[in-house]
Amino acid sequence: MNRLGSVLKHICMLLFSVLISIAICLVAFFILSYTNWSETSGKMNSATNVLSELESNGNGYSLSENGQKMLSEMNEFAFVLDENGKVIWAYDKPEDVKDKFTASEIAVFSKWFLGNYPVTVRVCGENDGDLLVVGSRRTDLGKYNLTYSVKGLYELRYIIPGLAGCVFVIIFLLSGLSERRERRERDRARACWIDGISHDIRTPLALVMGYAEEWQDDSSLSGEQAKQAHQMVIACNRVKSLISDLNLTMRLDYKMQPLKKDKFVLSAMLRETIAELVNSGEATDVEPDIPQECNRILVRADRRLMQRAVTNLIINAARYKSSGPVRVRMSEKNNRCFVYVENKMDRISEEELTNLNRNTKTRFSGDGTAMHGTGLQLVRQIAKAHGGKLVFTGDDTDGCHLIAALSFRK
Amino acid sequence: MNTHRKILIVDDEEKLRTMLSDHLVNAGYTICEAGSCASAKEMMQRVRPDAVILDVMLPDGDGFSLFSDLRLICPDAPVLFLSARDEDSAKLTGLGLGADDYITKPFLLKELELRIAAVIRRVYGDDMQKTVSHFGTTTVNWGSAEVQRNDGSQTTLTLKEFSLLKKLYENKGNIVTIDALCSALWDGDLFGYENTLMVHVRKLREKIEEDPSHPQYILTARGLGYKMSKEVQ
Repeated sequence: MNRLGSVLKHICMLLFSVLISIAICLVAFFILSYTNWSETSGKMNSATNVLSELESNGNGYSLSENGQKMLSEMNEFAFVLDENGKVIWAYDKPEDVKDKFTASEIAVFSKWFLGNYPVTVRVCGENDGDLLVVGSRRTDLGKYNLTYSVKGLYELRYIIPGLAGCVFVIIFLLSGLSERRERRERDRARACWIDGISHDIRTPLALVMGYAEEWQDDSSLSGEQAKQAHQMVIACNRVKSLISDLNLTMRLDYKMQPLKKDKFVLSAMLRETIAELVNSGEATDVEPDIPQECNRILVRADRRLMQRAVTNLIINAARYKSSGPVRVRMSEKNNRCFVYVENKMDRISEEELTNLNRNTKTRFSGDGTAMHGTGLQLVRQIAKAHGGKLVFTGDDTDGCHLIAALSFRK
Repeated sequence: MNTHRKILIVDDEEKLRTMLSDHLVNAGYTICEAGSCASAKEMMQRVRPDAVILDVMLPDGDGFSLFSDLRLICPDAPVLFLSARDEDSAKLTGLGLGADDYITKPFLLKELELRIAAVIRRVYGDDMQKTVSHFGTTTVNWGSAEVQRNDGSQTTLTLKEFSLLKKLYENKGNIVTIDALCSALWDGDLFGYENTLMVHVRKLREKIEEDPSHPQYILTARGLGYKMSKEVQ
């Protein structure tokens, strides 16, 4: 569901990027068009206004007072060319502007500049035979002429996908950053919450565990009551392990637990782990099968984490075994170490094996309840942190055995 | 064995203090309690305990700061942190300050008792010399390392046998791995010492057990190590 949601979200982002890109292109296009239009329209209006104030009286032209005032205020000049290109009327024409122009000169300045003066040209006179030229002395006035090709507009279809891609990448990165920040905040809140809960549980649990331990050794209690107290101690130990697993999983998940790698003898660590489990009563029937030659195998790993991983595998095996002891073996091959924890089962289906090997945080049964908690997930995380993995296999050669193989780099 | 020592328990949880106190009194220690930094300091001045069990989070301060103050009052008293915080950083802070041990809640009372005993032994030395232990009809005198048998015969333990027996006795009822035993005897890894260890165990059994081929007190934990029976007095 989450994956589908993520795909839909990205499709929406892509569509949104395309729409944004189209909008950017169109806005840019119209801005350019408008700029061009408005730039010229100002001049056009000025020339048009002057034209309306210009009077033709048969012999020549005259400009009304209003027209003159307009030109003065705009710091502009004007002149009229006849059909031969000769200046037949002028108002405030600069000295460096010629009195006669060739057809090619007229063609050039009608679109651009007359010398350094931006000019606008209008047709005037009887039968529209003359040309009114209004020029500006302002050097900060730009004048350009854009010719838009309709074909060019179609070219946008090649720009839009590229632009959409860029916009998509930008949106994607921004949204990624924002998501990362949100996730970090959420993780921190979760970490604090788990840490707080763990802390609050530990003290009352210490009380329950302590008194249960006292009762299990109390000779005044009946055998049954002592057995119940022993069960309470075991249950408390499980809760204790669960709290530690939760905290450790969280720290490994959020990279809050740096590895403290040291060299140690793996077989010694395995024996110590088994002895601790047997001494505390968390697992009673555990048989190490470690040949003497293994006692020289040194590994470089985080001892505490490795011990935790093996503890979790043994507890898991002891909890789900059908009969017989839990066997612990080890071997080394190609610079890798393997720890095998084996227990007997009534049966193991392929589906169960697949589920055990599925690398998910928690596996759920059909009714949605968690089948395996953080224990095995923590083993996987520890193995991964040491460049290794956890693999479950079944062995039917002598009854049905489930073998958990924890491998890691030496 | 060192159990006449005075221990100060500093924890804001009164019920936990009571539980710890009851258990340690039964183990032979004298206990005094404090629920805050202020009362802990006052108690340190007045009682001068031999060891302190110190919680990290207290109502009027933290155990780490209190630790430094306590060190000024009783520089020699070993301190064992008892905390609900199990992060490595907290442990390292505690041990880095010079604390003698760090135990995370919840804990087994027996483990706590053993660790306190170990810390006190390390600081004040071993007063095992004053006691004897009974392995059935056989008696071991820890001071002279002599073994007195029921038939009147008397033998002396070698240094390695004595160290081996002591290590097992300190962890009575629990499996001690061959690695831990080698470490106690030779201060090194197991490799190369396995067979020598077996020889020492065999000889020790011959001196302690009535029937060494069917030992009752020094038991083998197959593939792991050895365990001293709880029956030993």
